[in-house]
Amino acid sequence: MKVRDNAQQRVLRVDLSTRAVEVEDLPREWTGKYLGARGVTSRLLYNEVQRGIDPYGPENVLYIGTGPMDGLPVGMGRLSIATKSPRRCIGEGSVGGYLGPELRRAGYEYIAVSGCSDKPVYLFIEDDRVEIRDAGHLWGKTTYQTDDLLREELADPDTQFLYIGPAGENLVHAAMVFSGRDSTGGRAGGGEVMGAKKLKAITVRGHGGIKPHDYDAFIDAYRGFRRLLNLRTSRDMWTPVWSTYGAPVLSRLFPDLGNLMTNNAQMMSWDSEKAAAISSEHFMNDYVTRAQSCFNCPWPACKKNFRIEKGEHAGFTGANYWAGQPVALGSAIDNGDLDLMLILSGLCNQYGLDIFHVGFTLSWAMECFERGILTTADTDGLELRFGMTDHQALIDLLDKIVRKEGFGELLALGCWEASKRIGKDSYKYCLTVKGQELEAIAERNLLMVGLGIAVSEVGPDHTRWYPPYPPNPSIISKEELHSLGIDLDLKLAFDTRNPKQKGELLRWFTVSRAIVEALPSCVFLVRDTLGLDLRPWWKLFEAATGVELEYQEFVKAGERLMNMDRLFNVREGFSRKDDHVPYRMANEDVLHFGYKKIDQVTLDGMLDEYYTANGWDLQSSVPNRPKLEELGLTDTIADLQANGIEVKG
Amino acid sequence: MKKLELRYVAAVYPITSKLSEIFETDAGTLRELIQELDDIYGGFAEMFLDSQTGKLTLNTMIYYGAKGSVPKGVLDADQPIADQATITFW
Amino acid sequence: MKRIYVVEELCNGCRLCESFCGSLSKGIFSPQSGRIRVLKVPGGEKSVPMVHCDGRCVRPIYEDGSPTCVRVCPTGALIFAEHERAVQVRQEYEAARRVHSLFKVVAPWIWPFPWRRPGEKRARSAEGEVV
Repeated sequence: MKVRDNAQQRVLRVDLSTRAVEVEDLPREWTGKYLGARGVTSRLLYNEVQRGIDPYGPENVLYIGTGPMDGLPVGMGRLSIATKSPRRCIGEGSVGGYLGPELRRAGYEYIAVSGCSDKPVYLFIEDDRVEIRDAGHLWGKTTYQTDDLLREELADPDTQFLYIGPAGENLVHAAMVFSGRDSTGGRAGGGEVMGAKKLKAITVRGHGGIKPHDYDAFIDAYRGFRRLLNLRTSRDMWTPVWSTYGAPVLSRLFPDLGNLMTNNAQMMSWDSEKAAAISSEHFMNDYVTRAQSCFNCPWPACKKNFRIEKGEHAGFTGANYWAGQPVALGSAIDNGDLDLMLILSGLCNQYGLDIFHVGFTLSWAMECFERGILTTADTDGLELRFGMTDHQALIDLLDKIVRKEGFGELLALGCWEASKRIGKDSYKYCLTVKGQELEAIAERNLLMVGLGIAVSEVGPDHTRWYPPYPPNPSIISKEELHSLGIDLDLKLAFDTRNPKQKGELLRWFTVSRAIVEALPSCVFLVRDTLGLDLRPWWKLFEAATGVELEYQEFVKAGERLMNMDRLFNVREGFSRKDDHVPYRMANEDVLHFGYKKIDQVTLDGMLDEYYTANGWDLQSSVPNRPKLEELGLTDTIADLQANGIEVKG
Repeated sequence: MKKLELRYVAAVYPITSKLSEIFETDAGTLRELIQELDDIYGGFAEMFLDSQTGKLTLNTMIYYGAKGSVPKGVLDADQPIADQATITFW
Repeated sequence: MKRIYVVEELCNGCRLCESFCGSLSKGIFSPQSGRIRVLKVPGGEKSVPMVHCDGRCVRPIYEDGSPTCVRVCPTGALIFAEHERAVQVRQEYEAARRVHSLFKVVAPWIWPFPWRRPGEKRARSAEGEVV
């Protein structure tokens, strides 16, 4: 059985214009410098996708990558999907499932797809055999249909699939990429770019094995890792709850805290009966059929399959009801009907649509309709109201969005681009940053969240720094944190409505999550002390790869990855002015709860602290020379200067 | 007698089999309330109070919301409870 | 004699059992090398662990005598017990699952908190019932 050297990573390069296929070994030192997954894809993206190229064109490259820890039981099947987003910024996101380990067993960590095919194709990979095959029979099919057809064609049940739905094919804003059924990711641009390249799917089968460099050390580290995450031993209130009932439990907490975006965030609390109607307990009682998870996950039931048993949609099945739906397809559009929410969510998965795009664009449209900015003349006669209960009208609207027909064509742009077309100040009601819709978490009560969505290089992506609250103080002491290089005033940092220390705190979280994503592993598992004390991850990494890094060098790799993303963006022309919060959060207080808007003064204070903590220029947000020297990224300076970007210091 | 709104979320649900209730009690602190609920439903004392330290356990959370106030996470089991508070057990 | 029994409904398809079992003899993680395989039914409706083993790992990763697959399973879909005890546990599980929907996705022997047994008034702990 072929066994990989986990310190030597490899890229499978496929050009869909020329049909050329080649395999390239990455420089060995990249494993210690950039780790893997997101770390390597960010560096490759910077190196290979130049400023100003057309995201839908052949010069854009789509990277799909795992890293040295996948195929081992801590990789969780995580894949990084990275490309230049149609919104011009870096478009990186991750997805779970089972493809990563299979890709490594086939002999590769990364697939780099350049060029554009003239006809729909899929990429077939089985160990050394790589073929670009016709996908005409798959084009236009939903994700479920694609999955079934591929399974019929490639009978081996261990072959893993990656695909897009019709939304990606039609270049709908924020279209998703799927790593098997219902494992979604790539909303920052991956789905659209895959569609633009006419790449419908990738199939992977690998027969190799993955061996840690030091098996005994790996097992020892693994036992410690499991102790922090097992339900009976984890010292974290979210472990038992999120790993079973799931994140929708937050619908029972957020309304009281003023954290629940309702009616396009015009309000931050919701009718408690509606919140109870879409609760996790109700979902578990009446809809869940079984647990589902990603590769080798230590948690029981992050994803769950569901089935609607009664009513007009009886028989409808889907999976993965998570924290986003109660907000995007729930309170934001004032929908307290769980059946409707699950249908819309399930159809989004089948079509390949992003639920945040759909939910927050619908809520934007509903507010515009309320204000008379949109009328039935624009909406094909549809009365678009918060709390509308016409299931079929909304289902039909989803269909129109995917096909970009009628009113669906406007909504398919995403609300930011749609507001540009409509004008009439409709941009004020867009809950977007860098053209991308928000996710589920409130900003004005949790200032670190406000800062986090503002600065995130890909657009709002809470997985890059979540969560904004600390572990229980009794499980990690100030002395221990100091020894790990974390010298925050934790009380101040976690005082969620005080803007001080948010920049410093966000920096730490962004760095630590970057490391976890790059190994790869799942950032949902930063429970107990795993989000602050990265030593368990460090030990696993060394045992897996044999790459010996001092702890602070390991941490620095996370900082390096974070800076690579910023470098890509500044080269494209992004700067401080693009790091802002949506208009509503910047201009409106939260009534009833008394949370203040994040006005420019407050935001500026937090941005100054964040940029300073990162060693970035306060105006341009370009990393300063000393920081680039510290991170060993001085090779980027000449390139930045050639692109008209000034590097100071 | 104090009248409280008690909410039972997720992990507490298999103990109480109900999501919420209006509860009348003379309990002065959370610790006393936990004990009272334990007498009725079982499970509360073990779930929320560490048997060795007597402090609140590390893998649970109680949110205490005084009437008209935003709820806050509780760190001290001996925190007093007031009439018309909303207490959410996680 | 103890054997490994499977509660199929609890299998979430994670393949931890396969990964570890395969690695115990040569340190290589691969699904093909072990004595347990998880069959995935197309369409994602269920996963079925197929195990052919007496529970004596060549080199278990935990020293308490448990088979490795049973110990790493996150949902509790695998149990290691004498036949009579396994039947009893299974019956209790089926009853528990009817009363508490939570146990559709995780076994009571993995759940860390007390829960109310069917027919009993007060919830009690799961301590000492790990199978």
